[in-house]
Amino acid sequence: MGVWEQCVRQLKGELTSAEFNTWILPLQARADGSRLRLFAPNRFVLDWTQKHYEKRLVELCTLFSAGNLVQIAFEVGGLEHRTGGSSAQDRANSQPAVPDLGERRASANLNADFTFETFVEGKSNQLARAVSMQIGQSPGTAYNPLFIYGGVGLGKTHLMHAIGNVILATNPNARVVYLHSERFVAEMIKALQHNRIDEFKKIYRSVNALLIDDVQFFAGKDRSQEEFFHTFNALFESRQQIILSSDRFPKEVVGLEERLKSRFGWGLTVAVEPPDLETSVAILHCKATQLGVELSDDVAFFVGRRIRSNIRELEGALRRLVANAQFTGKPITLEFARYALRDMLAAQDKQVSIENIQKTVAEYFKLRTTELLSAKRSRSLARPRQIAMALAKELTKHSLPEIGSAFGGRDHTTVLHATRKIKSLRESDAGIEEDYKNLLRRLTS
Amino acid sequence: MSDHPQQLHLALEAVREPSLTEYLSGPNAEAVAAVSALAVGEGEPFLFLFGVAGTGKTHLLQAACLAAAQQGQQAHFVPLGTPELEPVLLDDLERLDLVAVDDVQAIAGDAAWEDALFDLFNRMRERGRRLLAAASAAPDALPLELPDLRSRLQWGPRYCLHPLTEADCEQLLVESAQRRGMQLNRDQVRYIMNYHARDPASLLDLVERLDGLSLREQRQPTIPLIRQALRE
Repeated sequence: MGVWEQCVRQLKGELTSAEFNTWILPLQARADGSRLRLFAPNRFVLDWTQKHYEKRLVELCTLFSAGNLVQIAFEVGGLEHRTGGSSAQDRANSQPAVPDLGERRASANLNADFTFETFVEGKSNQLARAVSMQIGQSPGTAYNPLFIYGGVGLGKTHLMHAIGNVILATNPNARVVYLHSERFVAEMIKALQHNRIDEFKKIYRSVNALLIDDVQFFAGKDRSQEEFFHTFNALFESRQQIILSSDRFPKEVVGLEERLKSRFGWGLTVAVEPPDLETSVAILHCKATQLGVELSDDVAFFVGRRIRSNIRELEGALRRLVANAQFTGKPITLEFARYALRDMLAAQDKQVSIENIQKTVAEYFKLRTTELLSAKRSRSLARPRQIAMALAKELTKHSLPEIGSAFGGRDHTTVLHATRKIKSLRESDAGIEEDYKNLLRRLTS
Repeated sequence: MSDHPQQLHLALEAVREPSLTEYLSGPNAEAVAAVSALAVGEGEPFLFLFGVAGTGKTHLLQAACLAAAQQGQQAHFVPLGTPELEPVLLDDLERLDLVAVDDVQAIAGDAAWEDALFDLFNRMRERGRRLLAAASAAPDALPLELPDLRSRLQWGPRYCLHPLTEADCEQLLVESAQRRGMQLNRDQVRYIMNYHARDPASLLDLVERLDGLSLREQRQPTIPLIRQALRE
């Protein structure tokens, strides 16, 4: 057993398991002359370990090496270079001569699974998908920049990766970089710290397609916005493709410089909306196929109806279902799905109470909850009240009499009428449909 | 007590390290199977565990880290509830094969921490690393400010850990004592269950104390010895 392994074994006995697993386990070591080089994954772990354990580590090293290792050098880093674990700058400096598609994809930070084939189209994302496909086939020519916006977990990142994958597959010389805006900021800070900012600028200003996810995270980071502004201009002027995403419309991103907001709107701005039930079901079928399982329609509709907030959660539920089926060896029936997802759904149900629905609906329509529960029947109150009742019917397990009683002591037939009325209005009035969907999302996300 | 000097037992023998096999799965067998698979890189790359205190979330996270380390992989247990920690602790952790973040509820509502965890999640996913997270409640019920973080935490399978039943706790006592070479009979088990806290962590602590005492006193466990261990 090596010196470090003996130190680790000894410390395992001396420290609590939390201390050991937090501060000793992530370290790597290498003997170098009379000193032991200890690598910590980051500066914080290094400082902490050095402050709390250096003295003991030196004692143990000296003891187990019979006096050969008497010094410890703490460093940030690791023993080996890990594939894909490097920054864009490191990767740019170590490109193989003729990289294959897989290597180019990894170098661009693209996920091979996010393609147009695996992106399920529905009314909620039709336009965004069509435009993205067009850009993938002819980047830099039309719609520059492309700005995709929408709530969390609705497929923005998937579309960006899909565009990047098409560009790489059709043009063997194309240089594509996908990264989250937080990474752009972090890499820029690192470049500044290490005096490599010119290199940083060169890399990002010389790509054929730059894909930056969640630009709302640039908010308040002035130096990063400044740098990104120049990167944007350089790429735009040389007609290279820029693709951006955000959780909201460019003009509505708080904390972003006006000049950036206006540039983000120069090209095409498309929205992705929450999927309707049918699209959710299609997404579930598609993801189930990718996982190698077959899902019946009744199970897909059950999951789609219960999980309404976003596609990530839908996928999480499906993965849980598949794991459970593999663990128990049982087929995925409706009964099985109800049982397997009971904890997840119970946690969700706890969140949605009639009171919560009343409060959310009142806030949405800028009313007071007392008005919603009052006997007044003016249209401006009756419609939100009916929407709230319909939501209570859909999202809670309360009976119609219980719902009626919670709405100022109304009769259960009033609740029934409200749910039917809202159902028909949702089909005929786009405004009501949008309000209903927005509220549904607020309540279930 | 004997007049002879007490025999000191070797610290290493008494080390109790969290292991996946030591965790009595009871009602949580599926969650334990999923964590075990993740630990060695064979299952889902991301899991979220939630449940009330005392259901063994911390134990499972640490056991997963140790299991990964035994395979020669690098792992890091991050107890977010520790007050002195700062968000920069999460920097560059995508270098590692497995990161286990415990007590996510402790950072809910703290913008800097939420941003850092969100960013870590993205980096781990991009690099194909594994992340195991645990909290007192499901992501939907945590008071998180960042919807992006919430949706990431919802991405993988979520498992609610349920408390062990009384019978499970008794089994845990008997098995953990057996692993240390002690046999507890029915009366002794009942005695412990009547006079001691019945959460798994407290029971395992007691077995550890009892083992130490039994070695020092060179006696098999008896009710008087158990009483002494309870007083320690």
